[in-house]
Amino acid sequence: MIEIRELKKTFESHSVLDGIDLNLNKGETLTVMGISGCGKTTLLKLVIGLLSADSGSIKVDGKEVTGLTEKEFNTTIRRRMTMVFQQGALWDSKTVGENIELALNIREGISEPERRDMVIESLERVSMEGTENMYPEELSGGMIKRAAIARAIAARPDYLLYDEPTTGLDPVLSRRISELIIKLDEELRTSSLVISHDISSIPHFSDRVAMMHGGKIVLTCEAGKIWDQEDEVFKDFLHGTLENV
Amino acid sequence: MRVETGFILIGRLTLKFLITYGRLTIMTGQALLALRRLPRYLDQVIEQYIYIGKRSLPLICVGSIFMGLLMGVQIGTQISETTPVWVEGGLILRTVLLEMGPIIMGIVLAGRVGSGIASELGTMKITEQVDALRTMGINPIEYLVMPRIFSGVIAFTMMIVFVDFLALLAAFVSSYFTVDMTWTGFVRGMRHSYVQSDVFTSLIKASIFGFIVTAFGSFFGLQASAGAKGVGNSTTKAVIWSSLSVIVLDYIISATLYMVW
Repeated sequence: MIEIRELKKTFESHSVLDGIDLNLNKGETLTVMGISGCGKTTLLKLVIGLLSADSGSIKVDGKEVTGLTEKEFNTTIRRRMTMVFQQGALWDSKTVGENIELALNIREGISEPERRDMVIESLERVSMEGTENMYPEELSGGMIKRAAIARAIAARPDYLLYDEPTTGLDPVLSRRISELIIKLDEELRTSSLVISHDISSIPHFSDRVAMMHGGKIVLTCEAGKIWDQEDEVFKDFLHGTLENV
Repeated sequence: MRVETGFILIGRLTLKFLITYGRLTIMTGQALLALRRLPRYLDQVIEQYIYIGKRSLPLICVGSIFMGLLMGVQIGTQISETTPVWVEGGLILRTVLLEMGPIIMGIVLAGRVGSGIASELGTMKITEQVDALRTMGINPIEYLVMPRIFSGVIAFTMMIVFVDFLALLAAFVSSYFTVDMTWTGFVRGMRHSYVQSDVFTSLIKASIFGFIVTAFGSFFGLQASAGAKGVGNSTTKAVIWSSLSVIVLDYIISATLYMVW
């Protein structure tokens, strides 16, 4: 379980997160939505330790992670938590297989044949068998996202963080990625924190939804009840009239 | 009012300079500490050595040949009226070893290697590849910076041998055509002026310039802000800072080594 309390983050004089309170329960998929620039990606980067918080608390299975050093993050949190980046962030100079192998670096004591098996298995899970020798430049946008997911699941994490996994994809690919998230959550029993503003896909793969605005969580509800919400901020978000604070 | 503004400007620039050098020092310090894990990143070191060394060689060869040709013409025509021509060999030898070889190589490669590293790392930074590395438990300084700096130092130190040799050869050819220099005379001049410490000076300068160019390239690359403009700015900064540092350090090293030797 991830518990976030009163989390604050400021860049220079601009306050991005102004007291975020959020829980990600074991085994659930929670989607945080909000308009561009509202601090969703910052939230993910704080959870996985790519940024450090100004104040507040993030607990992963009861362990406080704010203030951990890079080394402590590597040896504790990042062995159990991985992130799928918005544009995939695959290494251009390495093949898909090598990209996935690189992610296994975090796990110790894996032999070479085991590594290869894990690479192939990860690619099979995202329906990308036989692409291990291809380079990222040879892949389509949807394949890059799936390869990035394969890399993220290779080390068998307990927690998966997705940064806008369906953004920039056509509706068919977006649907496929949504189905993939559901499938992986079921098969691997991961808890997923998803960042998205793709309102049409969110109810498909989420258990719960949270709305972020003005550096705070202004709404949380079950994904199935998202369309029943009467919250003004949410309505403005749906109508495209919501502006950044 | 104007005086105040001037002081503020000087203060800001000094602060910026100190912050940049401070951060650079921290990064290079971390990269040097990471050398203890060199065997683990041998693949990266070889890859970078090929990129920095092998692929820069044609450029640097052309540069050094023309530098030599130019020196042969200029020095030959300047001294031939007042001094025996064979003296030119010694003058060219010391000029190439002590100054022209290392500094031309440093500046040319600041453009090629420094900009290449800065744009590559800058693109990695803005496309979140560097963040992705961190989430996989890989230290970007160990994986990206240390192999580049290490390979840079080795490659520059080896390349200076080619640079010096080709420049001398080209200088002889051009002296042959301009002042009728003979090979025996050219060698006589070189023997007359040869000082062993000059060779070491050349090697030391090249290795330090290799360090500077790759460190600045890596540093500004990892500082890149979002967008193509951000990467462009980082690349420009890397070339400017490394070229200027090469020139400034060239003087400091020369002055120091004169006192030592």
